[in-house]
Parts: sequence; C-alpha cells; structure tokens
Amino acid sequence: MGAYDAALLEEPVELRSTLISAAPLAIAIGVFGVIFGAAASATLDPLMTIGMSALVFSGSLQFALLGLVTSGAGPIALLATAIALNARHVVLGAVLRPRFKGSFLTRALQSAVLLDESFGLAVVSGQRAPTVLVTSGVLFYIAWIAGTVLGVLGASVGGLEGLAAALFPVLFIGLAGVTSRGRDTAIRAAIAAASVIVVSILVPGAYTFMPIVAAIVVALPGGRTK
Amino acid sequence: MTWELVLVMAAITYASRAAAMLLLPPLPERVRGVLDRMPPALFAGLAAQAVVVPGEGLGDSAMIAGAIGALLVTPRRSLLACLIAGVVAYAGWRLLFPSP
Repeated sequence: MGAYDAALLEEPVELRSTLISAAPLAIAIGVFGVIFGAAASATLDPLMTIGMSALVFSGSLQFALLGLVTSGAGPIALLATAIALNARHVVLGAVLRPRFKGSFLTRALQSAVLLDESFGLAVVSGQRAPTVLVTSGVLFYIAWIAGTVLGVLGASVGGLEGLAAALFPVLFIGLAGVTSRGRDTAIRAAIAAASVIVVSILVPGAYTFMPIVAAIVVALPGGRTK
Repeated sequence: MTWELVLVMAAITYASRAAAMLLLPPLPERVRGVLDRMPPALFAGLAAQAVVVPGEGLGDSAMIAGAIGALLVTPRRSLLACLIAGVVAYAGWRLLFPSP
C-alpha cells in the first residue's frame, strides 16, 4: 500500500457523502444530455442520437463529433478526434488501477463507467474506489441517457446551462483540495492549473491534452509523499 | 454519421477506459509515486480547462466566481463544502451582475 492510500484511509470519505456530491453532478450531466439530445436531433435521427449516448457515453467526444459531422468532416478526422479526446482515460485508469483488485472481467465491467467525474469521486474514496466508481458512474450514465432522451423529445433546460457548466470546475477544485496532501502537492496543482490556462490561450490546439500533460510534468519530479 | 461509425467511436472510447485497468502490469515504486502525485494536479488542470476558452482567455465571469468560491474553501478538504461555496458564489455573481 502506497503512502497516498494510507493517507486516504486516515481520512476516509463516506460513501453517502460521495453520493451526495455525485447527485448535483448527475443533474449537471443530465442538463448537458438534454442539450446534446436537442442539438443532435437536428443532424441525426432520434434512435442514433440516443444510441450514441448509450454506446459512447462521453459528452466531450459526442459534442465534438456532432460539430465535426455538421461541418462535413470525414471519418479520419472523427477517428483522430476520438483518439485525442480519449487519451486521458489511459492515464486515469493507470492512477486507479492499483486500487482495483477484482478479476479481469470485473475490471472490464468497471472500466465502462470510467470518466473524469467518476474517476474524481473514486480516487478520493481510498479502498472503496471500485464501489464509488461504479455507483457514481452508473448514476451519471442514467443521467446522460435520460437527458439525451429528454432533449430528443424537445425538452429545454432554460437558464440551467450556465450553472451546470459551472459545477464541473467547482467539482474539480474540490477534488484537488481533497487529494492535496500539503504544500508540495498544492504547489504542483497550482502550477498545473496555471500551465493549462496559459498554454490553452497561447496554443489552442493543445487545449485537449493540457490537463494530462501538465499533471504528468508536475508529478514527475520526486518529492515528499506526506 | 453511420451506425458503424458510432460503434467504432464506442469501441475506441471503451478501449481507452479499459486499457490501463486491464493490461497495466505491476508498476515500479517510482512510477507509482508519480501516479500518486498526479490526482491534485490533474483535477486542478481539469478545473482550469473548464474555465478557459482556448485561444481567447478566461471564460464566463460567473463560472470563474464559482471556481474562486470553491477555491476559498479547499482548506476544509470537503467536496460538499466546495460544491456549496461554488454554487453560492456563482449564484451571487449572477445576482449582482445579471447577463445582458
């Protein structure tokens, strides 16, 4: 068991509080599901819109694909976008892997709901990471599908889009705070955040990769683990 | 867009999610140390990514107010407190500076 796991076990996050934290995010994901469903209906038939949400289950990728399809992009551009946007999942999986002790089949099923938000809730849950990943991931999946269906049926989210969008940075800041273990990790996190902002503004093409790249770069130098 | 393309996208997405979870061998201690140090930086980077408009600058001011509200309560190390503070800051900003 690494020092990080031990630190987390000393301050366990209760499953109940994790679910309470997941609920507003599920609502936010549902809101974006409605927006996706409504937007995609103009380009795709309803069955394919809902089918895409059910099978792909990736808001960022689905919105990107919708934009590319609408602008007439070819299959190569779509594939390149899918690979670029999904690359971060490999790193998320690598961070979580030591916490998952189940069989190959169990991990194969658990992987289906690995997304930024469920990863975040899982990684702060110590030994309960598999349960939290699956519970929150399934909740988010249901919210995404329900939102897509409502959007296809013509629902509108009114002025909730801004609030829903604002929940994501708030969640990630909260997760950064919970997982920070002192000045050393907090400074690394601040450097990563500043790098993402500066590079995204100066080199827009790097925007998609920057969180992962910055996290790897700031984590590489050795340091105190406590 | 065709069903074949949707299935390919689904396969790529699932493969990316499952790759490390299924195929990653036991890692050396040094690599685990790097992975252990990554989450706070990764979350901070994802938060920064959410508030920035690529090629332009910082995005919606109310969203940034929400992020600052959450940032102020991070010493409490409570996710719920951050969510509440962020939403209150976002709503407060919207109240003070309504969108045109």
